[in-house]
Amino acid sequence: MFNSYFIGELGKRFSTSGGVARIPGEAESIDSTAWAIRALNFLNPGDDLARAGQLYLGTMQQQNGSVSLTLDMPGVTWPTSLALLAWNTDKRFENERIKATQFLLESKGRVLEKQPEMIAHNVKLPGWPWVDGTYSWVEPTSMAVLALKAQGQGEHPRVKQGIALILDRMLIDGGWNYGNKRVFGTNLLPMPESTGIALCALKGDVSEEIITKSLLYLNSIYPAVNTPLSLSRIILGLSSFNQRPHDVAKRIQQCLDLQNRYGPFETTLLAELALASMDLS
Amino acid sequence: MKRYSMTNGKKSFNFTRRQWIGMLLAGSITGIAFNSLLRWGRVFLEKEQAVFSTSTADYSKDILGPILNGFKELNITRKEIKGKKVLLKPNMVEPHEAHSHINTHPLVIRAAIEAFLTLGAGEVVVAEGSGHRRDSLYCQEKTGLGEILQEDSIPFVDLNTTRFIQCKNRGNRSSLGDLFLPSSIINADFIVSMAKMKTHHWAGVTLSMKNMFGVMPGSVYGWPKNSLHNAGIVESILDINATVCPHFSIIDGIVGMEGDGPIMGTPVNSGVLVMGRNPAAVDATGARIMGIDPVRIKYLKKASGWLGSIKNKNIEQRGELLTSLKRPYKLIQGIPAHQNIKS
Repeated sequence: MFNSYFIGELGKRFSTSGGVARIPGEAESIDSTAWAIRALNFLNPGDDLARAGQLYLGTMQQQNGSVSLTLDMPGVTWPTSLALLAWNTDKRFENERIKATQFLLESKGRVLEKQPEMIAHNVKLPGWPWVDGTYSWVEPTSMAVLALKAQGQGEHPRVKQGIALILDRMLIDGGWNYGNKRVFGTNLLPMPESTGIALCALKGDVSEEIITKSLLYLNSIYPAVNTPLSLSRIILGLSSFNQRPHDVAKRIQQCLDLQNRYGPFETTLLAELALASMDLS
Repeated sequence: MKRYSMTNGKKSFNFTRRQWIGMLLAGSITGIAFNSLLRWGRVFLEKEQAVFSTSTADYSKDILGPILNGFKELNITRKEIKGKKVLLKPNMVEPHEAHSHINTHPLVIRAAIEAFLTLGAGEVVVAEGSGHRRDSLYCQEKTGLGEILQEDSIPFVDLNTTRFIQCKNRGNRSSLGDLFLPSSIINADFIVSMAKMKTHHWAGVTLSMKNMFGVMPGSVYGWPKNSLHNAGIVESILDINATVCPHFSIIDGIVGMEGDGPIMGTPVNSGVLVMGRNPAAVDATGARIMGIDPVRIKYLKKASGWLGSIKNKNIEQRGELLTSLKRPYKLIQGIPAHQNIKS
């Protein structure tokens, strides 16, 4: 029921270059472009704007296959996974996909030789960082796992390491935060956006009993969450394990109404909400 | 007798063991003297700064009045603020139900908005780049800040995702190199760090200077802002403050956090607001109120004589007596950053 709304809203944000603005009137950004394409690929397969956006992302790809936040920030490579998801399995971008896939398979977050006493998670597991040379965290690892799986790399050892890291960072009472589960003996608290994306990455690789508490956590907070990033990630996370809520349309409408308070949502938020609005399972 | 040689270019010098030891000793003494001189030099270089502290029992009481009193005491005038673009940077690291003491209270933010508008500010914006949360709208919804900003027609800027600009690092203490700062920070005329009074398990305390971590965009530095930790927490605090140079600080210590801060600690009803123009002096005062010796907080010690004043004798305390406001915060001995910092 929201398809035409999202196609229209996302479409308005494309510039002639094929890039997409974070909010209307601003310059284009890589992550906004990638998320908008990802949503349009599902909302309207074959969309011309999405094709223009894919070409734009191609022009932003670095020599080593990464797609960084801006061309002059080669170390901020977390958008590579998003670009790869935007190119998806499109044969016209095979070259770009191969290079980006190779980059992700070869890059990894920093690991430590020795386990610090105050940290509970396994610091020797390599996932993916936000920024090259730093530690691995839940969201960039989940995004890399999702992107690589979409390229048919689900059995690759790096993907298996990523899944192991995500499972290792799961909080004792279920759910995930940005990626620290216990510090100085205190269990930390979960966050819906991290939990949702972690569950999406784990889809098909873990049995439900391993993540039961995490699903319970998302189900318990779902009624009280109304903001686009958290709400869409909750819906996508639950849907990944066949627990899609029954009133998604109503909740998405309530969420869209929040724009009366906060103004137009950022493109990345609209795109994730669009993906949540579709039953992709 | 064994001879020790030292080569200086083509010349070679020979010394006896006694001469050699004597030279080493003299060198060490000179080194110690130089370090002492540097240390004392820093204290000497500290300018006198004024800080205003006042009791405010709880959030239901008048907060605007104490802030306006602080402005008066610290000579923040209408002439200085009129027409300016004021940016308030609260601490909204992550909101959780029943953990309201994690974040700067929205009623303190509202009072600051009203105070700056009273002085004729041309525009007031609230801006934050949460360190742990990607969902800034969730932070606004859960803390109640969103409702307040809507009622007061005040814009919110998500510093994590907004446009940023490469800036020269004016501190150069960390390995960060140039800093990428949001354009809204660069374009603001008057930046106010609105911190929460909390202990911190990596930095000892988190007050107005550590609060400035939140101006660094997550899109560049990640969530948590791990690149800043990698580059040295203390050094990053110094670099950000040296580069951004916030004009004013307000610490919300009405309900603070003790124990395992900045997230998992317990609330403390310390009933205090601390404010001033110099962030180091404000933080040193905040630390004293928490029963913590600011000289033992690494970032404050390093800021002393450079970014501000932390010595008691160099801070002119205005408002209420610190002895009447002091409420020692519980520390955790198992946390290295909490060890030996009590005053």
